Amino acid sequence: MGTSTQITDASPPAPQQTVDKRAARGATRPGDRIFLGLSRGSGILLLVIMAAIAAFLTYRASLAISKDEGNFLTTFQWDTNAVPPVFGIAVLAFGTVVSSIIAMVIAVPIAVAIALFLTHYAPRRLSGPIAYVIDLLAAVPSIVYGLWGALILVPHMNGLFGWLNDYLGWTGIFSWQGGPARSMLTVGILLAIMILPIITNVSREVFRQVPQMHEEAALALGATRWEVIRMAVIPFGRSGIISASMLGLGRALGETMAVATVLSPTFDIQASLLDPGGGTFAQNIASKFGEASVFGQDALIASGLVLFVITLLVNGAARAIIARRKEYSGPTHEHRNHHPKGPSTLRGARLPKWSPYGIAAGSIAVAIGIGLAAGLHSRVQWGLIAAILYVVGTYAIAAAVEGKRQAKDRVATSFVWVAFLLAVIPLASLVWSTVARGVKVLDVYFLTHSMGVVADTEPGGGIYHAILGTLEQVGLATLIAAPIGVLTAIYLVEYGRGNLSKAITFFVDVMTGIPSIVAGLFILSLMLIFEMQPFGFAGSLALAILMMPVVVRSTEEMLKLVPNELREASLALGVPKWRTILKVVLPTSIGGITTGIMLSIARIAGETAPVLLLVWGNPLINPNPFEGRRPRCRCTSTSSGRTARAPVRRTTAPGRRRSP
Amino acid sequence: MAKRIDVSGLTAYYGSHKAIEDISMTVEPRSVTAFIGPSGCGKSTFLRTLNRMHEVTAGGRVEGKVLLDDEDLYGTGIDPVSVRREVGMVFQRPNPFPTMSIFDNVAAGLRLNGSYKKSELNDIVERSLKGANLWNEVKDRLNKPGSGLSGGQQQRLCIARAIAVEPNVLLMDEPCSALDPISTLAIEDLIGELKERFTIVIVTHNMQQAARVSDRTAFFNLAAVGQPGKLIEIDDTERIFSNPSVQATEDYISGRFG
Repeated sequence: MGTSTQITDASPPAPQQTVDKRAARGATRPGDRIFLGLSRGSGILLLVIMAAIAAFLTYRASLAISKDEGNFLTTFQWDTNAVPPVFGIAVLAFGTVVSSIIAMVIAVPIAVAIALFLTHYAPRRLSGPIAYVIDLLAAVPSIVYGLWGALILVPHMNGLFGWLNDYLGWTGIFSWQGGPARSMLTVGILLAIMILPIITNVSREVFRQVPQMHEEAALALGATRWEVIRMAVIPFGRSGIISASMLGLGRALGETMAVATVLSPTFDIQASLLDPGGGTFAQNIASKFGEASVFGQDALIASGLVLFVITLLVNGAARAIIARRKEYSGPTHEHRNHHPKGPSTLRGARLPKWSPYGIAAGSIAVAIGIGLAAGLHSRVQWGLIAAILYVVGTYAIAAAVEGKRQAKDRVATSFVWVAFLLAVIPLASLVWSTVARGVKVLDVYFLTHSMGVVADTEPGGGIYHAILGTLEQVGLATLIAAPIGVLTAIYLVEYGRGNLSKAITFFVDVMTGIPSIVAGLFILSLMLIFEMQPFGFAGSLALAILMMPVVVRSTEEMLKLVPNELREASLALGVPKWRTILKVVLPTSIGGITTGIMLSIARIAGETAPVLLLVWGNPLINPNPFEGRRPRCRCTSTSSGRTARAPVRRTTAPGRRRSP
Repeated sequence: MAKRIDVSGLTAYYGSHKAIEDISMTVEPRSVTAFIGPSGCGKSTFLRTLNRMHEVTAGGRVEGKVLLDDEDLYGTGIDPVSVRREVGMVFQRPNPFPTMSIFDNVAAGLRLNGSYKKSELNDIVERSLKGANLWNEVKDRLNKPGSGLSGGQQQRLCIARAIAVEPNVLLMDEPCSALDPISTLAIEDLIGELKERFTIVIVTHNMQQAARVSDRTAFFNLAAVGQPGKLIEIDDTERIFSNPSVQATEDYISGRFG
């Protein structure tokens, strides 16, 4: 090794050891210097990539915007082939923001409730498998959500839309002319369903890390379960919830394929969320890219740049909020509940165990009664009435029997359960419909043949070319991203102090939120500059960019979990820092790190948009990643012959495994 | 191989906060020196400056001199890693490496520092485990994880791990505070045996323990919360506990404050 001149001699440690000055000259050992250099270099590389993305997108965008006849920000038109070209992003910005807001409003409360359900409410036997399934769902490719949305969600929205139109149509926002439900609201709901698993995942991890003693301290003060959550769990996890939401928001803002599949786009802004129309940045890029000239591509890159800036701003804002909240996010400032004023006896009045079921059955019966009596047709309405009755009934009965604090606790419990059940329906439907439909065409022939000689409109052929392409590109991306990501995380946790590590942390967060289509556009702008044709390795590069921040974040979390005592124990034995990291810290956290890498692989394996931009695809088999179109079945159309293929991929998406 | 420690004018900081101020003392070789004092008086901080572990914590900084047999641990060009091989440490809570077996835990310091032949390692591990009075309890399960042992056994494993690299000085930071009385007794007996070969410094909150195991005792105190901790006096243990020269020491050991 050359780093430990002191005890490398084969003899057992000699008794006359002295502090070895030869080894000691120079502040650090070569091993330490090399390792520090490597990990710091990886961190700096991430910063360089971010700068390059901004620079190249800006450059290509400026080419397009300088020739734009309309105002780029306010024009309601996208005509890049006109002479002179006229295009603007007003409609796209509006659609992107609106659909994301809808998604966040729906997804965040439900996701937090599910996370609480899994950590604090669900029976242990249930929470494990459910958490596993939700982990799995977080890795489902967005195109699968898109297909599910178009085939299943859209037809089922009619009931809800009719109901909204009947009662809230007068607002203008919820008016509906009866067209197909391929509208902003549907997109928002679909996006909510998509980001639900991600937000749930991250929040659950945060809630699980609430120190047991905090919760026990609250319990020991006589707090109910809900009060424990409010006093100890939520304050502790607040910044985690915010970053989880930002992660979800990032995905919602940049979601491409799901939106493109479900929305029927128009280039105008309309008040109603229910009528079809509108558009988003990413959807517009995906649908216009195929026929775009080089100039058209530049214009699309310009719109991607705006999307990039929006995600930057959102992430910056989120970090500012977290930083400001940090000093307040202790469980100590909640004083009101510390002194229960209940009766002094130990045995308070309790509702019997079956009471929640009783109240539920009662409210459902009453709701059906009201529904029949008032002649309400919509089942949605019956359900709503039942839910309201249940909450009010629970609160009233519990407040009367057990007191107000218990009543609140019961309402919170029922809200958490309802949120969970509500979320289960679409997610279960997603799993069921993809598996049930996909399994029909799934056979050995399907897996071992390409689409080489089969026309798109005919049955037959298989996905062999797509499996090969996916493995190859994902493998290359992993080879690039995993080492850089892990080394960066090591730098941040083990060495990082000062401004460089702050900058890296910030930009890793920002990078996590980069829409995949922007990563694709970045590589595309490079390819345009160097006049290259689509080829497989370009796709791998874009995937690697998407993968890096995910690897960094998850590895960082795992390294932070390694108790400091272990590092100190090793250092106190006179082990150099780099060997401490390699031999003690990494082996302790290797399980978690592997899981993180698997998760990020799952994320990029289902990535559609950038691969579509960069690789194009090829029904034949092409094993060379550096030349020509890559085989890659990311179903470029929604023609019926192809929809059946998507399900296959998602069953192979590696799930999250919990390791000791 | 046990060495003398000479500390002069040592001040340690956490960022801008001064944790201990102007401490000077001599620790004799082949003896046990105990540090006592109320919580927050800087005993552990001082202990950690003796093998340069203090600077591992963010913002940790030290002024002054620590001589290990005439060699200043904080002199220019001194490698903290080499220092820690000379001055071993046992922590408050037993912290065996969870991914390693009992054998690997004891061999960790040697293996992580260089390469050894299997037979040498076997010898050293056996010698160290015997030295830590743990050999008989674990000799049949050396390949089992170290985290499967009881708390007291884990702590003795950590001691075996520390003495396996044959340091000159052994620092112990409240090594028994997480242990039951029986395990504590085992560790105290062990300290009595180890002082034949090592210079031992032990931080303890348990004054009976200080009286039982140590030859010399140092009393630390701080003027007020937020003030730096200071060394009040150091003397033979017998004298400290029977006839200390400072009133504050007598107040502390007789339980009148702290």
